[in-house]
Amino acid sequence: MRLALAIVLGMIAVPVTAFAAASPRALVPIPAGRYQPLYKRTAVDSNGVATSLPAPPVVVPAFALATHPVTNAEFLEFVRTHPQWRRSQARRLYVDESYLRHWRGDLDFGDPLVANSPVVNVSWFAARAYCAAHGRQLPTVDQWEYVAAASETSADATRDARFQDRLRAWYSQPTPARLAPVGSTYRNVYGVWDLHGLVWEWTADFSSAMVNGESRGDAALDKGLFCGSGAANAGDFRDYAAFMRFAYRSSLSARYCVANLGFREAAPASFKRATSARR
Amino acid sequence: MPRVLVVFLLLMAIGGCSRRARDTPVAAEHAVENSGLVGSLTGESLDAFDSTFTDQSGHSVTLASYHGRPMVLAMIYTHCTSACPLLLNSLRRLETALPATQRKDTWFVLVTLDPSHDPPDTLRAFAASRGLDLARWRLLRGSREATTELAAILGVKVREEGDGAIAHSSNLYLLDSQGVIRHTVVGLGADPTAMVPARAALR
Repeated sequence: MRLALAIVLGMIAVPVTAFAAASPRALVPIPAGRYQPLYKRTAVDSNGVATSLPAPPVVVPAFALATHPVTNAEFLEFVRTHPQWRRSQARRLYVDESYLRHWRGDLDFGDPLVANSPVVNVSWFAARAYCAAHGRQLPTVDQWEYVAAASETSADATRDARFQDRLRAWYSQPTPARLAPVGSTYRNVYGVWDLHGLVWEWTADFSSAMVNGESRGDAALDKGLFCGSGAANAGDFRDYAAFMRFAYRSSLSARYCVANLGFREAAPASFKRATSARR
Repeated sequence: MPRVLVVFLLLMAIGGCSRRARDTPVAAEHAVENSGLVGSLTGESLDAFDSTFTDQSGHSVTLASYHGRPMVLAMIYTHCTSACPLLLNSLRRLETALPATQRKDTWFVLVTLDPSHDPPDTLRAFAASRGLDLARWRLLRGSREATTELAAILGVKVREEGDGAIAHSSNLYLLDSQGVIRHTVVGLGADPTAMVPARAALR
């Protein structure tokens, strides 16, 4: 099948410089580091009583991340060359009925003012196929969260009250009818734009955030999450914002196309050389 | 967005500060089911998904290879000690509950969530040790990509726990003889025999 083929080709293409030119969006190197994930570790004593403990920091190896979310214009180029992802062609198994619903047609995103705005109403499958077409992939939750912890001046702004205030302001705003262009919010210390303030973004392993019905301690995990962020530490907005993202991700299905959900590309660290050499 | 919001509210609703841990994995069954998400798959054909799998005998297959008979589909892994044995029990309860003619005319397909640890030999040994009748049971292994994609299609959430275990949704799917999803049983708590009438309605 074509998606699988594209993915396989994408994997092969990772070290191939020529593929980098297919995407206009530069990747920037992200150095290895660590971040404190939201979720708690649940310890259960012999009486079955659970205690939530902070999880150990997650080590994130170096990788490369796109400077901006993918735009409508960029996604149009993709569907031009990948007809199976045009609005009228995409299989319902891979996109729901809202796929590219804000576009006027298969090869027309309508409002010219959104050309440079993030593409939204795209499913996880579609986002993944876009990345694979450039030999890239979606960032993982860990990669995304790690980079999103940075402000303009600091790699870890989770204790920066002014930065957190801005996040809070955005989280409390409804999504505007016309999204602002990419590059209109802020650029963090890594040179990555718009991680907060424009759209939510797909991650490769979004579905690892579980709500219920799963095996092992997930119900307890969710309770641990909510206790930790919603009640016990309600004043800690860092946890609250991370919890919002966790809840948002866990509510998604891979076919969903949502009006405030876009994506950006990532690649292994080794990819960086190929792209930056072309700039 | 309304779906997202509803589930978010649901999450808030079940997220009360219980200090009581689940004593056993079975307790997961009492969690609120988000069947709206998975249920929305009903009526979707899996035909567009044509990745190749290897069965327990080493044969290459796609899900479409089983067209012609309805299929009960689930994702498990053989070294799972928590949910999978329960999920397998659910499947066997369903198998037993079906009238004999329908039982013989239904595929029971397990796709491993852990392709690197479940080669065909392991799957075959698993089938033998569990007494699964290979006249109707098939145990499949795909590539990592195919596994991820199938899980995403089905709405099976998967998280590697770092200790070799894989947390995952425990859902059963009934596909008709043309690969269209007709019924879903979400979570371990749901009664698998609820699928019996849905199976009876096929052909």
